[in-house]
This record gives sequence, structure tokens and C-alpha cells, in this order.
Amino acid sequence: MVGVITMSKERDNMLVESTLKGNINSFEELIRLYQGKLINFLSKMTASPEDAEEITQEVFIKVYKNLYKYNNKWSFSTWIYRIAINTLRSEYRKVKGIKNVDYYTNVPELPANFCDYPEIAYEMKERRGEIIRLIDDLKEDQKTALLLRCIQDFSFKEIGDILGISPEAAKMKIQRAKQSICRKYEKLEKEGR
Amino acid sequence: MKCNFSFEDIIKYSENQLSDEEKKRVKEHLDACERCKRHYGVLKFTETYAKDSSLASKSISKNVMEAIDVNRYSKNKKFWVGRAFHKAMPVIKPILVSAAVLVVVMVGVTNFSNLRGLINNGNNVEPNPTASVTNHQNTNPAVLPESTNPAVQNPVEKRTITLYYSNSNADKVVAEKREVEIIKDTQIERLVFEELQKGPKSEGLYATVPKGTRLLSVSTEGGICTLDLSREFVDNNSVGTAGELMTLYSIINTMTELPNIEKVQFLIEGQKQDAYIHAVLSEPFKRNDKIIQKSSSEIKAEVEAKSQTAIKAIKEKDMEKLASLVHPMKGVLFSPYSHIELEKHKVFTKDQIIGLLESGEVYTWGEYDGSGHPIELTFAQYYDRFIYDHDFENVEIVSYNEIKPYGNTIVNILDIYPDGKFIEYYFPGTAQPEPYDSADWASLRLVFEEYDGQWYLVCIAHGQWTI
Repeated sequence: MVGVITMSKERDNMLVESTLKGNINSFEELIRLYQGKLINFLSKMTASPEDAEEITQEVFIKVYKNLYKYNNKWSFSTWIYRIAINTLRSEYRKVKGIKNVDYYTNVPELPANFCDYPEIAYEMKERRGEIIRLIDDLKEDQKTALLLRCIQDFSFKEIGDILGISPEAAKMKIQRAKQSICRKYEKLEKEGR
Repeated sequence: MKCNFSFEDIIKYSENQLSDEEKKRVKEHLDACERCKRHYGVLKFTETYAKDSSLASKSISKNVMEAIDVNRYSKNKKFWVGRAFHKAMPVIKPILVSAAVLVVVMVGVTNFSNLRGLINNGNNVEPNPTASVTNHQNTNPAVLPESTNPAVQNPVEKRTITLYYSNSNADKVVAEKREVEIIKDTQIERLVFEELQKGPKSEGLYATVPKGTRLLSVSTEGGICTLDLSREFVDNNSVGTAGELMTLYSIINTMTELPNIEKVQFLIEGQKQDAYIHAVLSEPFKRNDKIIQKSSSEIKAEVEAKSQTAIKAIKEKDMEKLASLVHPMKGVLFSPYSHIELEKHKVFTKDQIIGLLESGEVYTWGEYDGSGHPIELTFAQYYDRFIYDHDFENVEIVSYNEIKPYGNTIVNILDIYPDGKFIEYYFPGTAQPEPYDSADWASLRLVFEEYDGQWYLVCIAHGQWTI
């Protein structure tokens, strides 16, 4: 695992250096490597895939423009997520409207094998719209930390770096996020009966 | 159902962070506890949902490539040349630090054989011809067991002398201390001069007395030391005016370290000369302390004192005070971010600074990171946003000439100001956990450069998270 992380770090730095030498293909490669995860992250932050794509484009444009200032003491992956979050916060205010209600009803089916208990898996799938709404209703910082942890497998240290907080604080946010979702779900479930 | 498991256990289980033993226990519990099972289900669902990127299959690569200037980093671009240039600028390393440490060690050692051992083992200086210092009956001290040394009664006096050599730029002389033995009836002036001729022991220093120079005679009267030197002193001086000054003041400052000597008169082959190369040689010279390079700790103390005055002036908006600290030739550059860009950021002279706060004029201070829009503000607005946006005077973390690892942009102060020293005031953020607040760290760096023996403010750089 550590080896994989180190390798992707080296790969990123290599691509950055190469881009700075004028090799634009290396930048395209960086886009390919990060766009999927960024769009996914941002669409979950905004609940709108269209906004997410637009912001992701914006992020890459910023990354490219500022690449010569990138300090490789940071890993590129934490840097780009940080930029994504900042862009989201400044850009999203403009686009943020009412959340698309269809979003929750149109959530695609998830693979059923996420849970070893078939009856629970069934229940979750039936109520997926509600759970996703619970995730969306998290405090912004908790939601960010949670998604970073799940999507990019960032360590608490890396999440701390991205959010400008300590690793302990990052861990705490994720735990609170998870707790909050479970508690609220429990409540919903009881009310539902 | 009684439930003894904490929520944290379930989280760890869902993240696969437990030992096999613990895993087994939790699993057994889950099989029996509906509530924990449901929690576990919600956690796994959340994870799966977060990872699921089926909605994000579109490639934005084409759009991005159309929007950017693909030639931005190709070699013939102007700003790229600028960056390479800054990188290539030489950074003068504080070699003096190591030299100073060596001097301390040398002074601290009083046993001569130890001293020699240290010099020979610890340092790659050329073997030291010790004729004038050790022309007594001593055999090679290196082969003598140490314990025999106290038994040897040398009729000599040990003394630490200070010699001055040229630095690598040939614009300052640097002190080097050395311990010598004075044999009875030896003239101390001669001993010191000949010691000076042997050249420096510290790295980065350069000998100053022309090769082949002989000291014909030396005498001191009424505070004036007269050195009568052979022709080689003039004939073999191959360097220009700078080297000439180094030669003269290396000797003058070295000699005036001795008590009773205030001035130095040079004679060449017994005659007073009108000029050396350019310098007037007919009158005795006084010591020159301005030409002595300061030690790094002295520089630090001076810069810190200046910076303290400057940050106070900035806080109190005392622009006249601030102006008095600004570099008289270079002015002061205002950088809104850690990455200084000479061609974009504004520079004001001493005189311009004074009325700036009252001025309604809108300047362009560079570009906002991220949006790239120009930062168009009056000085007063810029001051609130990019200079004193926190109470930097009273922050706890103040450092000297040290680039901290936080922040996401390259701090290029030492590339832009290779001879500069800076003080950094770091505000760690409000440290409130909700939301992102402690990402609001900020710093203010005041950069100083030396000019005519004084340290002046050349740059006020604000640091914060960018883009």
C-alpha cells in the first residue's frame, strides 16, 4: 500500500515536471488520472454532475496556470483537492440553487455486495435516496472529510493537509460524519415504523 | 438486546482496521445485534456510494485543453525564462557559520598538540608551516603521548590573535582567531604579520598579502605601527582596487587588534610611498570597522531589531517610520502572496510610501490567485487585505530566515533576494474546528537587505493559502 502511494506520488511529480518543461501530453495524462475522481467528489459535494464537471474544468485550468508555483513538498493529489475545494467554495455560490430533487430518486443502483447481510443490503438499497440525503445534509466540513476519505483513500494526515487541520481533527470529523448519518438513519427508521 | 460495542468498533470493522481476533468478536456481535448491523450497513452503503463514479464518466480533457495556453511552459516563453533565471541566481550560503564554529573549537582548546590534531584531522587545510610559531626544541607533538606534555616546560606564552582575511566577494574582511605561542624576545607585530601571511584556515576566506612579501622591519611608536615591506608587496599585487583594499585593511585591522596600535604606516623598502595602487600610502591608516563582515548572529540581531521596528510601524500605520526603514535604492516591494513576482508586484520608494495610506489611487498589485483577476485596490485596501490582516506583531511564531513547510506555493524569497534576510510572522489560524477555519493561517514576511552597512526593508510579502 505504501509502495503504491509512493509510486503514484512519483508518477505525479514526474508528470508535473514534464508539463513544466513544455510537454503538454503530460498534463493531459494528469487530467486523465484525476478527472474521474474529482468529478465524482464534486458531484457529491454539489449534488449536480453538470456543476461538478464545470468546476473540475475550472480546477484543471487553475492547476495548469499555477503549476509553476506548485511546491512539491506537497503531494500533487492533496494540492489538487485543495484547489478543488477552494474553487467549489468560491464558484458554487454562483451556481448553487435548489438541489435537484430528481437527484435522489434517480440515484443509480449500487452493487448489492457492499454488505454481507442481504436483508440489510436490501433495506439500504430501498432507502438509498434517504441515506444520500443524510450525507448531503452533513455539515460541509464533515462531508468533505468523509468523501475524501472514501473516494481517494486519503490518510488522516493528507485530509488534514487538504483542509488545513490536524490529522486528529480530520479523523474526528470523519467519525462525527459517520455517527451523524447512522444516528439520523436510526431515527428515520424508527419514525418510519 | 444488550449491546456492548462502541460505534467506533463498528466503524473500524467497516474500514477493515481490526485485528483478526477483534474482527471475529465484532462479526459475532453483528450477527446478533440488529442495531449494530444496521449501522454497519449504513456505513458500507456510504462508502460504496462515495466511491461510485458511474455518474462521472465524461471526460473534460478536451474542454480543458481548449481553454489553456498549451505553450505556457514551452521554453521560448518569457516568464519561464524569468523563473529559470531566478532559480539560477547564486544563493550565498552562510559558510561563515561553519567557520565560526571552527574558531570557537580552536579557541577552546588550550593544549597545543590537541589543537594540531584537530586542525590536521578535522579540516582540509594545507599543512601549516609552523616555523615561526614552533621553532623551539619540541619534537613532533603528534607522536608524543599526551601525558608527557605537561612535563615539557616551554618558556612560551600562549595567546589568541585575530587575523583578518578577505571574503569571497572581496568586499569585506572576516576575522579568524588563532592561538599562537610567543617565544620570548619575539616581536609580537612580526609574529602576527607572518601568521597573517600564512593564509586563512577557514573555508571561503582568501589570503591577502601578496606572495613573496617580506617584512623588513617593524616598530611601534605613539600608537603608530610602521611596517617596512619588500618590493614584492607592490609588484606582486595583481588584483584591482577591491583587492587592494582587502590587502590594506586585512593588514591594518589585524595589526590594530594589538594593544597600543591605533594606526598603521606602510613603508616600501624603507621609503614612504605616495600610493599603493590607488590608495594613498604616505599617511598612516586608521582601523576600519565598517569593512569587517559581521557574524551571522550579529546580522540576525540587527535584522530582528529592524523587523521589530518595522512590524510596529506597520501595525500603527506609522508610514514615516516605515519609510525610514525602506531600502534607499531598491524601495520596497509588496507581494500579496508567498511567491514573489518581480514583474507583477508593486514597488514603492521611501518617499512614495509616506502619503500612500491617504492616497485614493487604485493600483494593480498582481493577480488574485485562482481567478487570475487583477488585484485592484488602493493602498489602504491592500493594507487591510494583504498586509496587516492579522495582529502579526503579537503572534507567537516568529522565525528568522527560515522557510516553513506549510502553504502550497513555492516561497521564493531567497531566489529573489539571495543576500536578503527575512523575519516571518506566522498566524496559525483561528484553530476553531468548524468549518475549515484553521485553514486561515496567514503570514507576513519582512525581507531586509544590507546597504552601506545597514539593513533595509526591501519586501513585504503576505502569505496565505492560495488558489
